[in-house]
Amino acid sequence: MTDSSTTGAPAAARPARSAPRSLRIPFRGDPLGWLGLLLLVLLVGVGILHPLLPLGDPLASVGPRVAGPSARFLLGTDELGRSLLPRVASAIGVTIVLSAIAVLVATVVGVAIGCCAAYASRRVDQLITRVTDVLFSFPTILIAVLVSVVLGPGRPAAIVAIVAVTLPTMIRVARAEALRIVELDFVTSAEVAGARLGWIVRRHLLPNMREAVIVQCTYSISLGMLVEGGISFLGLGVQAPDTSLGALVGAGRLYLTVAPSYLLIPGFVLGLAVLAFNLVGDSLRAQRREQ
Amino acid sequence: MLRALLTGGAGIAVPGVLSGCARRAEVGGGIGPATAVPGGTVIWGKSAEAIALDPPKSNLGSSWDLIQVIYDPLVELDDNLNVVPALAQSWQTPSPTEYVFSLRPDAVFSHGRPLTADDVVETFRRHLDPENPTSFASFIGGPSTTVSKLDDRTVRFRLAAPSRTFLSALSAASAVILPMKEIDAGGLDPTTEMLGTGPFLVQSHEQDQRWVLVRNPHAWRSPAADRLVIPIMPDVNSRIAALGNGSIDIADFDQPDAPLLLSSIPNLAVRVQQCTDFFVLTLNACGATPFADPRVRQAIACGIDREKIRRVALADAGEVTGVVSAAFPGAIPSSLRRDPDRARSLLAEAGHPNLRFEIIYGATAGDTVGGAITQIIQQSLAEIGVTVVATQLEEGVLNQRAWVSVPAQMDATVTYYAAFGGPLMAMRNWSPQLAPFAVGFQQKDPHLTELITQAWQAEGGVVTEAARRAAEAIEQQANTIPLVTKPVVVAYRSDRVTAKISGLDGNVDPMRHVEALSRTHVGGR
Amino acid sequence: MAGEIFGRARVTIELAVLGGLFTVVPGVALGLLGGVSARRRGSATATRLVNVLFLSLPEILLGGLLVFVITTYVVPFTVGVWPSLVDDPAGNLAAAVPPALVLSTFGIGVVMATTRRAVGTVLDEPYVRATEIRGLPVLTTYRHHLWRNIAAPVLTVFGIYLAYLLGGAAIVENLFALNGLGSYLINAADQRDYPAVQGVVLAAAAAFVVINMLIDVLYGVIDPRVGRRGAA
Repeated sequence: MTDSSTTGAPAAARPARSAPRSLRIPFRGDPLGWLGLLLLVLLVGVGILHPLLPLGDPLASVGPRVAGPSARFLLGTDELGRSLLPRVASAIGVTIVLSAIAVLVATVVGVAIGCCAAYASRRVDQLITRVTDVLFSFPTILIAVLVSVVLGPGRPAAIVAIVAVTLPTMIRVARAEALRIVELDFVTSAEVAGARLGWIVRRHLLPNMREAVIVQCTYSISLGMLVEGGISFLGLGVQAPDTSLGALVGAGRLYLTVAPSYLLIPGFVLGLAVLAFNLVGDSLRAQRREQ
Repeated sequence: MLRALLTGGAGIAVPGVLSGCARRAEVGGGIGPATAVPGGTVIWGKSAEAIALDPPKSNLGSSWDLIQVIYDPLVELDDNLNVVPALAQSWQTPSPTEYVFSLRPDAVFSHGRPLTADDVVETFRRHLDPENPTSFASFIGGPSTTVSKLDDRTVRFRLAAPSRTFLSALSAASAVILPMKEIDAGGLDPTTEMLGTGPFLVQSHEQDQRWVLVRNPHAWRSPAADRLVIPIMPDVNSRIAALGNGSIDIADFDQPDAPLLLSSIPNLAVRVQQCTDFFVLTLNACGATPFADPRVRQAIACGIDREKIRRVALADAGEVTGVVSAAFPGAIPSSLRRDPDRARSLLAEAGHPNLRFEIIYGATAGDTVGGAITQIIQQSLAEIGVTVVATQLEEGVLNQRAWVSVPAQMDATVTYYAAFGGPLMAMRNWSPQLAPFAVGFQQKDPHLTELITQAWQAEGGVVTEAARRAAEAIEQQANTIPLVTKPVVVAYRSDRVTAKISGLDGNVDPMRHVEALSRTHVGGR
Repeated sequence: MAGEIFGRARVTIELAVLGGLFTVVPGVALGLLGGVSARRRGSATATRLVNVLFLSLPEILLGGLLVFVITTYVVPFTVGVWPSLVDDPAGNLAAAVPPALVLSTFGIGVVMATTRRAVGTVLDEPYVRATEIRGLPVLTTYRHHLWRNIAAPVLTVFGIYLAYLLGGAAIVENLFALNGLGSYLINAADQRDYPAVQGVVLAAAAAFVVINMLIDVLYGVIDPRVGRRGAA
């Protein structure tokens, strides 16, 4: 639902050049961008490196059942007496990785379709646009439920659901960018010079789309994490003993009145992770607009 | 920094803001004396819809509880699982193979026709049909048992051999007496309509929504309340919220954690009901699995930490059990002991030092116990080098793979067995000859069937020598490993209703004393 | 099943309407405020942070927090009951407001972002800048112009969001133990009840079509020149 396709318009005014500006110094003087990046590095680091950290075993029943935070179990324990600290840490990894994989798929497919739409006949373009519009405004959870009913609950269902939710926006962004770039002088001259389509796409289209697509990716990953959180919360996504932040929140729901930390902590961490990606995305976009 | 943020930020900020607000648990306590008031409506939030309504064919506990509200059996269980009169006011046993029941004179079906001996005879003829006996029939001797009418109020059963399961089996939901005259005449379809002699009759039903029951005007055991409304509430949080805000009066829970979850609701009476039913780990010894080798099965039996299952998955609410459910007074203790060293050497001997297998388990909306048990099994088997893949399946798929396919399409499953009112009744599940549903995963072992039959026929107390031999053989076979009992939690609003909840149950009948359910008036006046 | 869907739709529709109200009013207000104050660097950063926070707050966190507060402390809201709006309006609102709030957070973020962008576009127009340089009050001078430019994109986003609310109330209904269409859908999915899932999807699709038609009509009212839908 976070749509950044409109950013295409002001950016179109900038001078054409075939070598894209790099994203080396992402957020000059933007504290929000740095905050997001810091959070992101921290969470991704914990999520991926947690087996190496001295957090404990996420699968061993070692403590009392459903206990709040204590000195021994910093985030408390779950209904099987497992420490929530390592469970939350591994859940961060699962949630981010699932969302990232799904968004990678959505990006590849979305950019391909977007470029096709830009180069195809007007009728095909219209068809793609219309279908994308409908998919775009179809309720997120409904898509997720349909997918998990067809595939059965589990990681694949979560990934497919996130792809389904993030794909339409990616197609829109890619199409808008492709249409803009195709009109630029150097592309036109390349066409006139008789360059092959594949060469133009590789040499001009993709490099010039990169920034817009990367910005959209960060938004899509954050949206994907929210979607994964929702469907795993509802028990349609990641299944036990595997866990994700949404699945932890879902399990904690039952114990809300006795150990509120069981729901609130993974929920809070999910919020932080989404915030991190959104801050980075917002900063990248703000910077793009300034130029 | 992250830790401090997490523990401090989320946990403390909210109560801080709300420290001015009173906690709900502190408000409303201290009710006056409660007195039962006859009449009115009582609302029971039921955890699952009843979908198998024809008693002889019904095999779902979630239907049995409702069936037992509408119908009555010949005999029933008291709170210590002793058999006591119900529709039969008394019975004689002229010989060990002969039972003669005298029916109550005041038993009348809810449409006004009195119960006759023909209804009883025809009900059991349906069970004992030699062409197509019901699954229940094996408890009362199978098709070789004959049932006949001596006069309008007397019925005689003749068995081919003495049976220790016969009398308690008659108390089961499957054995309730149907209005056979109407059914045989074709005017009543027991799969969709319910017409019994119980305290309530069905006024209306919306599938997956609610049942509305009203007082049976002809009931021999008249209920205190006029109406019993039964909304179907599969979501455990909904039932908890509804008990809290008073939109339901009484509810049943499968979660052993329910007392903890309900502890914040004032004026709530919470009763843990011990049940004879027990959880088992079923290994598939019939398919192409490593469990065809008895050593691998025994290794699993030695590797499982059943005490940990009881402590963690059951929240201390149930008991570790053997083949005879530990809920029965004087049950045979299980001979299985945790022995990781023996488990490892058995696995090495069998050539499976790094065994890996899948446990499938079902998951209805709120029931998390099967999953919890599976995960504890996974943990304890990891210690003997066995990798367990836990897979949660939707009930229909699980049903097909575990109980319908022959051989079963699974390595193993965690489920529970109904153990009914007789200590030895559940034993039949270890014999595919006696329990046909087990044919897909349970090894055919004529010797074991013979031991079980002997135990069923032996005279004496609960623990006969024959029963002990059968129990030991079953645990040695380790094809289906008994784990822990399956308690039920019943909670009701003590400021709104009075209820009598049995502490021990054998027939999946949490509402056994449904006629005593009544509204209360609280406070002086 | 149709009766079931209609019965439950009452809960979900009310949640969507209330959630829509809670979305559009604060969303537009915050967006206007943010768009206008974006001229100053400090307040621009604050605006962006607020906007991103709204977009990042998971429903399951806010919902869980509210349910915990309502079930633990004596506050004038309820969980798990749904009194009729006609018979007991106060009780109904006590039940409906918290879940509607949860539903609206993400939407507030979306509407706020859209409004901010629209305001920014208008304020960047050369003639607006010229007015500003002359020291005239920009907002009052171009009030109508501003509204017209905000209304179209906000309406588009809002329409999409309303359709999302109708089908997407599942999480909130689950958290607040409400018997709406969303929880019906989840139960049906749990039990592989395909006809029920299809029924809900059809109902949501129908609602989606109707909402989009209404929005198309509203476009014409806002801007008579617009014959077809403008881009968001």
